[in-house]
Amino acid sequence: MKNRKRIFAALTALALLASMTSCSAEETASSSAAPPQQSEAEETVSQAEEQPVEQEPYTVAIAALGDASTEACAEVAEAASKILEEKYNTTVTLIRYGYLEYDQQMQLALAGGEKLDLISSGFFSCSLDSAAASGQVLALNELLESSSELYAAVTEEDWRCMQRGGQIYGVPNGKEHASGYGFSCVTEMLEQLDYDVSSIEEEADLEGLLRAVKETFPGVDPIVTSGGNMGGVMSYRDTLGNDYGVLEDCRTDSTELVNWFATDTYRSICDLHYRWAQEGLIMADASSNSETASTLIAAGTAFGYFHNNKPGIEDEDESATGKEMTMIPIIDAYSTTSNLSECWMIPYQCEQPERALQVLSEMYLNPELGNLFAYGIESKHWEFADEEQGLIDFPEGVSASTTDYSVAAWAWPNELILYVFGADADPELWKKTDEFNETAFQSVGKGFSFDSSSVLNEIAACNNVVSKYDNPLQAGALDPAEAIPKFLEELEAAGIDAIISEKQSQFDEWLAAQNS
Amino acid sequence: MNKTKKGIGRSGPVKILRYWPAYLMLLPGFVYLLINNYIPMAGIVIAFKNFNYQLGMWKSPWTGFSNFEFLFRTSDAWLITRNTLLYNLTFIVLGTVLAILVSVSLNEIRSSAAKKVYQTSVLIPYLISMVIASFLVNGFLNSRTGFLNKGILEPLGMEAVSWYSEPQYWPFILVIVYLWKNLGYQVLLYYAALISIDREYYEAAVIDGAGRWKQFLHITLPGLKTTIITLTLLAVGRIFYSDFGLFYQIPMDSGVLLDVTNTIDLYVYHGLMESNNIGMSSAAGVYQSMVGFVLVLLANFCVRRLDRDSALF
Repeated sequence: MKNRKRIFAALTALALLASMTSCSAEETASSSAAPPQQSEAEETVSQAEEQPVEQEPYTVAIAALGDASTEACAEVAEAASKILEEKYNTTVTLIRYGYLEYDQQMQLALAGGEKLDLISSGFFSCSLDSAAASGQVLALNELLESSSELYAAVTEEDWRCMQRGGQIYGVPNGKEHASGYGFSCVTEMLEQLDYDVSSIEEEADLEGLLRAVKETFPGVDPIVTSGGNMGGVMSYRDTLGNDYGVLEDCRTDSTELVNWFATDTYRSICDLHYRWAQEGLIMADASSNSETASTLIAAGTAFGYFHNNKPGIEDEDESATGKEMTMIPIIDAYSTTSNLSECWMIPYQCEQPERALQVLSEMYLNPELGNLFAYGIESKHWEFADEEQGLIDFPEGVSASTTDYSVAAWAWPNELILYVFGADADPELWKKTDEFNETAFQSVGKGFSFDSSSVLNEIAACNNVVSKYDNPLQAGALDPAEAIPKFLEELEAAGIDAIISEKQSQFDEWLAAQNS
Repeated sequence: MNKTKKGIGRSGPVKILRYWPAYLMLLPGFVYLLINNYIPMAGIVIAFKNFNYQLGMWKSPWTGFSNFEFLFRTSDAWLITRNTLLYNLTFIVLGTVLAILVSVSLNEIRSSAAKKVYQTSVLIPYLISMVIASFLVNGFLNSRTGFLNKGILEPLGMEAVSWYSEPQYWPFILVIVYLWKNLGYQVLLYYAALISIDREYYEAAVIDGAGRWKQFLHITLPGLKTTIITLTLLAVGRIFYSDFGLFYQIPMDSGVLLDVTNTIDLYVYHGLMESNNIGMSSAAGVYQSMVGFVLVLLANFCVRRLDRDSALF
């Protein structure tokens, strides 16, 4: 009896052990599969340069922004592989993540060393700045030499914006590279008010319109925030990467960096918003509002919100809110380094970076491939609304909320070579975008990027002070006369002066190098 | 009795040989613990390095303690430490007292159907995600549509309160939300301990003429003592951590409230969200666990002085 018990226990233990080791055995098999290919990679480099057609087969794993189902991604990847296999003997896999989860998913994939060869930049932790600083992505300078077509397609100035410490880390998305700002509002209400919008030139000029909205439509908030954020600062500042040490007005020649929160511009914006909030022209609880402005407008409880202005913005707003929207421009388009924050990068774990760049170059330059990635499969995810004009739209029975391959042309390498999405959209949109880029005012600081590694502690401390004051001040929830002095005092204690002086010295050095 | 003595008396290898199936059964759990809890501890080095993905954990350059600096840089260091400790102390004390009260009352309920209903309804908030809880709270506190303003204050002729921009109310709101959400789980633990107390003690006490209060004081509390001490010691170990969801989601990340809602975890989030610096965030984690470790040792030391048998180790 006793013996049998013992044997039984031993067997259970063995079974448990066996199941564990089989798990770990699989894992080691998959992780050890990766390294040997590296040596092959080196051999193929020399071959690739001579005869691109006879390259070894290779799979490029792509990660991009926007919601899409796994099946749709697989279908697109298969179609793209067909095009790329013929030309480069390369196949691709594709995965897309929604905007809210993208950064986090990328951090996991990068930390875990998952197979990835091409990634789009995200919004927070997956930005060019932090990816380059922490070594998550590869420098592309040498690789770009072999890809002259791609190199020539992007301007020298734009390449400079992709540099960190003298090395290029990303390929900027072909899209608008400048931004104006303005107030976007519901056209229907605007027409009912019969208000002359053309007289509005500065932000303060909006006051009459906002008061009229408040009187005519009780229960409608004239200005709303998106997730507690006012959506755009109505000024010509160039932040040069972060809020600490900015060019207050980049249209002037001044190259002196100042504390943005101590400027007259900031003070007057906060004063104005505080007055508006007191008057009820800005929504209540503006700085802790967790809804997006477009949701509030769609629900009919809001009149308008501030955000960036560019060609085609009214159509974009309409698709976000479901209402016809009018953009009242306030700040003319100007271009800074931060306007080129969206880019494509090659992560450090990529085994054959030159093959990844080949694919990226093809995505950037080949409209067939570009359209495929950006819009999906023809007649399944999109169809022509007007083939001659190059306008496409969702097929019958599919809409933005039901499609399994969401549209985000701007998130792909080059939207300027693609079809224009939307049956009612402007077929000249990309041409206008090109013009917009060319005519936009270029900041003195464009191309400069701040290496913050020596002041990381100060920045982390300042970030905390800013998260306490900035949103509430801009949303008019705090009295600037009381709050700004306290704000500045705390910033000083957190070491903002050290950041500004470090940034200024880097900026001066950079300016000198540009002029020489 | 005899057998165990024999077992202890024998030397190591013989013991292992004799009980080898038991040791074999122990092995998977041990290996799991080693892989999951001990090997990752080597990652502590990241807190002292300028981490670079291309160089990896071991080859990244050392930076000494500079990653820790941002935690102590400003006057906020005092504020976040104070908030984290005081909130957690309040949670521990109020949570324990209320959980015992509720579980004792639960134990007094005779109808088993009613007992099930109460037990479940106390536990449900624990299963709700903080994000959803934050919208429930928003339903009460929204200054335009919230129940407190529209349903209570205004009908009573009082002035509406802009809850999300008035810091003085938030220590209470946070404590209430925490208790509402976490009480159920603790109640379950105490209730489980309660029903294991032998009924005969109570019967004997009643015969001796002890009232409810005396019964509670001399039977229930001593019966719960080990559970209370264990749970409190565990909570003390986490005293330097804060429930991120509670402090971030419930106040809707309102900057105006930060003086009373800022805790270590929130500070790290705001400071590093954009820079994504692994070294600095690990430094914060190391700091928290070190303080937690020391506090557990201290608390356990105190318990040992008072009552040797109740100490964890």
